[in-house]
Amino acid sequence: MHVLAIDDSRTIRDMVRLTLEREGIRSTMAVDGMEGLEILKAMDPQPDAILTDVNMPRLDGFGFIEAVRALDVFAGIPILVLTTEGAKELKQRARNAGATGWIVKPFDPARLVVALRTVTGLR
Amino acid sequence: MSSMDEIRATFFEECTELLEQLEGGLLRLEAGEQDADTVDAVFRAVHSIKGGAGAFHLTDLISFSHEFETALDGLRTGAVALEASVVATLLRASDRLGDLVAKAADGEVGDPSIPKDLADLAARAASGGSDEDDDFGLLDLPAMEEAFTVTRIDIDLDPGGPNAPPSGAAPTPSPMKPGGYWEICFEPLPDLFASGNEPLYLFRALHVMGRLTPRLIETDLPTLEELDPSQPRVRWIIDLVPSAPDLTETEIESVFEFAQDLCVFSIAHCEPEDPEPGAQGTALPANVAAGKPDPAEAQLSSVAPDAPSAPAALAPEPKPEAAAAGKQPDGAAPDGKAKGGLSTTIRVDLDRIDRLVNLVGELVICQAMLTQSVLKDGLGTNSDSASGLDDLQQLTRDIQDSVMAIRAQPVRSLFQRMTRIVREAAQMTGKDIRLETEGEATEIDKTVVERLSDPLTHMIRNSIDHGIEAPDRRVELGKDRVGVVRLSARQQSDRVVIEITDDGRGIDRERVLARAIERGLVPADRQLDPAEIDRLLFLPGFSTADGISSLSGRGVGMDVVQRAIRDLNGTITTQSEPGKGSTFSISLPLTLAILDGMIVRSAQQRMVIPLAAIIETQTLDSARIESISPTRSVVMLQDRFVPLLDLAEGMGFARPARAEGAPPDEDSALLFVQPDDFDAYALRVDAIEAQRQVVIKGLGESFGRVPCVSAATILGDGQVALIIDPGGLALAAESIRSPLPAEVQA
Repeated sequence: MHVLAIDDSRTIRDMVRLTLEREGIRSTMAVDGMEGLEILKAMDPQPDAILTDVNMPRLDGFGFIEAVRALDVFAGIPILVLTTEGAKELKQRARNAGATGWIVKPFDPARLVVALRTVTGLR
Repeated sequence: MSSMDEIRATFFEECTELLEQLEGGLLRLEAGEQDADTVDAVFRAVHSIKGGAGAFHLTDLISFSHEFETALDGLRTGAVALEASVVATLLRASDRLGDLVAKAADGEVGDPSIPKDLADLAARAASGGSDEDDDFGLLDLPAMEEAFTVTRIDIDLDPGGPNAPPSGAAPTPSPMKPGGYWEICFEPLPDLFASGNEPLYLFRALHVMGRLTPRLIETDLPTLEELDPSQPRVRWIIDLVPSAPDLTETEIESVFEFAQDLCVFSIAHCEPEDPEPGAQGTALPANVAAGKPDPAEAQLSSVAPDAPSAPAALAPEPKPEAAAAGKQPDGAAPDGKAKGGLSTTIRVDLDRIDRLVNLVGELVICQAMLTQSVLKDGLGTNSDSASGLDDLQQLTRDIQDSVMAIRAQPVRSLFQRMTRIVREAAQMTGKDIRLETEGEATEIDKTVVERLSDPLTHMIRNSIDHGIEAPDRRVELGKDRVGVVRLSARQQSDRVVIEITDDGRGIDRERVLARAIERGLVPADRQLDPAEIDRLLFLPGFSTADGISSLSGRGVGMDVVQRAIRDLNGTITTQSEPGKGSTFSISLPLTLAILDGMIVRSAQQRMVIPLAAIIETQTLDSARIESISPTRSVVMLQDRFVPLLDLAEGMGFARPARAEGAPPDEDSALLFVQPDDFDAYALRVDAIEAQRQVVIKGLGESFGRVPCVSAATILGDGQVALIIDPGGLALAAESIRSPLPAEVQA
C-alpha cells in the first residue's frame, strides 16, 4: 500500500510516516494541499489512499479534497481527513467536499492502519 | 534514540519555529498588517503546537494552546476586533506558550493556569459564534485530556447522527453460541461512491472476521439504458459466521464507520436455531424483517429522484481548481519563502554538516601539507604539479566557503527573540521602549546565532535598565517619551557587525571611573580618556548598579558578555555620548572554523596569535625596551610605554638554556597585541614564521578550559600548534595585569 499524507506539521508527518513504516506501508509526504495536489498528479501509479490535515497554509484540506474529487481520475481514491477538530460542522464540510472518512488527532496508530486497510481493501 | 524520541525532538524543534512564526505574525498584526493571511498563519502556529502536544500527552500545553487558539479563532471569525490591547494580550500569551513549551521540552509541567485577559478574549471569541469549534470549545479539561490520549481514537463518520464512539458503551451481546451468525443489511446511498468508499473493500474487511454469505438484492436495478454506474442501485444482506466467537457488534460496525451516513445499515444477531441463512421471511429478527428494509426502500425511492446526478456530485459548486488557483497568490506562505509548489529546502542533521565542515578543514590542511612537500621535493612553482596545486587550493577554498554557507543563518530569529526581551524589560522598568531592527537577513554561523542570544539579552536589558531614562524624565529632557533600542546587523568584509544602540543617557563616565577606583580596578590618580573609561565596564567584578535591580543586576556583568563574545572569536566595543545614548558594537567572524593568525615560534614551540588582536609588529633590535624592575620591562609603542611579556614565559614553557651574554635570537620580534578588555601589551617571540588562515580545532573536552589557549590547529607540516588567547594571557600575567607605575606613564 502506498499512502499520500498531507500535513503542515512536521511532527505529525513524522508520526504518520513512522506508523505506516512499521506496518510496511509506503508513504509520500506533502506539507500543504497545494503541494499535495501537485505530488498527487505526478504520482504514477496513484496512491492507494490519501490522508490529509484540514488546517493548512495555501490550500486547506477541504479545498484539497474538492480539487481531487473534481478530477475524474481521482474520483474513487479514498481520502481520510486527519485533524484535531471534532466539530460536526467540520466533518460535514469534509464529507461534502468528498472525504471518505474522518480521524481525530492524536490518532491511535493501530486504528489509523485499520482504517486505511478498510478503505483501500488492501492488507 | 528511539523513533518516538526523535519525533518528540522534532516536535520541540518545530515548536521553536512555530513560536517564531507566531510571534512574527503577532508583531506584524501589531504593526498594522492586519490581513487575513497573517491571522490564519498565527492561528495555525498555535493549532499545530496543540496538535503535536496532544500526541505527547502534554496536557498543560494542550489546555493553554486550546484557549489561545479559541481566542485567535475570534480574530478569524471577526468576533474579536484587532485592537492594540488584544494584540498585547496575544503577545503575552505567546510568551507564556513559549515558556510552557520550554518546560515541556525539559520534561517539566508548566503553570497551566490561563491568564485572565486571555480567558476573557477566548470567551468573547466563543460567544461571538465560532461556527467551527462549538462542541470542542465547550469541553471541560478532564474530557479534553481524555480526548487527547493516544490510546483512544475517535472516529466519527456520522455528521448527522448520534456520535457513537467505537469503543463506546453499547452493551455487547453475550458471546455467540456455536453456530450463531450475524446478519448485516447494507444498502449504499447515492453519495457513497463520491466519497471514495467502495463496498467491495468493506466486504473484504468483513471477510477477515469470518465466513461471509452475501445475497445481492437487485430488484431496483434499472434497464441498461437508464443505468448510471456512479449510482448504487443494489443492496446486500450478508450473513457473517464469525471465526472468533467473541466478535462484537461494535467491531462489525467499525467496518462501516466511514459509510454510516452514506448507507442504510443494520446488524442483527441470529442464534443457531434460527432458520438457515438464506431463508428470508418470518423467522428473521423483527427489525430486519419488518422495519429496516422498508424504510430503506422508502428512503431510496424518495432520495434517488432528487439526488444530483453523478457528474454534478463530482463537480461541486465552487470550481475547486479555480478556487485553488485563486488561493495561491494571497495564500502563499506568509514569509514568502515557499514559492511554487514544492519546498526548495531540505533538512539536514547538524552533525552531518559539522562532519563535512571538519572534513573540509582536514582537506585544507592536507592541501597545505601537500603544497609544502611539493616545494620541498624541489618542484618549482612553475611546475605542473605546483600549478595543479594552485587550482586545488582555489577549489578547496571554494568548497570551504560553500560548506560554511550551509551553516549560515539569518539573524532574524535571534532579533525576533529580542522583541520579547524588550517587551519584558519595558514592563518591568515601567519604561516605554520601541525596538527597531535592521539587517535581519544578515547571515552568520548557526552556532554564533545561538550563542549570541544570552549576551544580546543581557546587553539589551542593560540598555533599557541603565541607558534609557524613565518616560517622565525623557519628556523633561525634551526627548520622545518612547525610548528606542536599535538592533542592527551588517556584514563588513569577512566579519559581521551587530550593534545595540539606545537613545538614553549614555555612559556616565564619572560614575564609572569612581566605581572603578572604589573597587581598586584603577589607581585613584590615574587619568583615563573616555574610551579607556568605557572599557572599564568590561572588567570582571565591575557593576554600576547601585542597588541590584530586578532586571540586569543579576550578578552577571559585561565581563561575562565579553567572555561570550570572545569565545566566538569576536570583539566588542562601545561608543557613547552623554545625553544622547550608547552603542555597543559586536564584531564577529563569519565562521567559527577558520582564523586569520600569525604563526610564531617561541621556546621551540609554534603558536598562533589571532591576527585581529595584533596591532603592530617590531623587530627586537629596533624596539625601545626599558627595564623598570628585575622582573618587569616596558616597551615603547608609538608615544607610550606598554608592558612587555615573553610569550614562552607567559605560557610557562621552559626555554633551552642559553649561554650567558649570548646575543638575542636575531629573528626575535615583538608583537603588540590589544585584547578587548586590556590595554595593549607587547609579546616577545623568537620568530614570526608566517601569516596564514588556520583551521580551528577544539582542544577536546578532556582538557577543559585552558588558560591562555583558545584552541589548536594543525599546520601545513602536520604539526599541532596552540592558538593563543591574548586576553587570557594578559589575565594570567601579573606583570601585565597590574597597572604600570605612574612614572612610566608619561
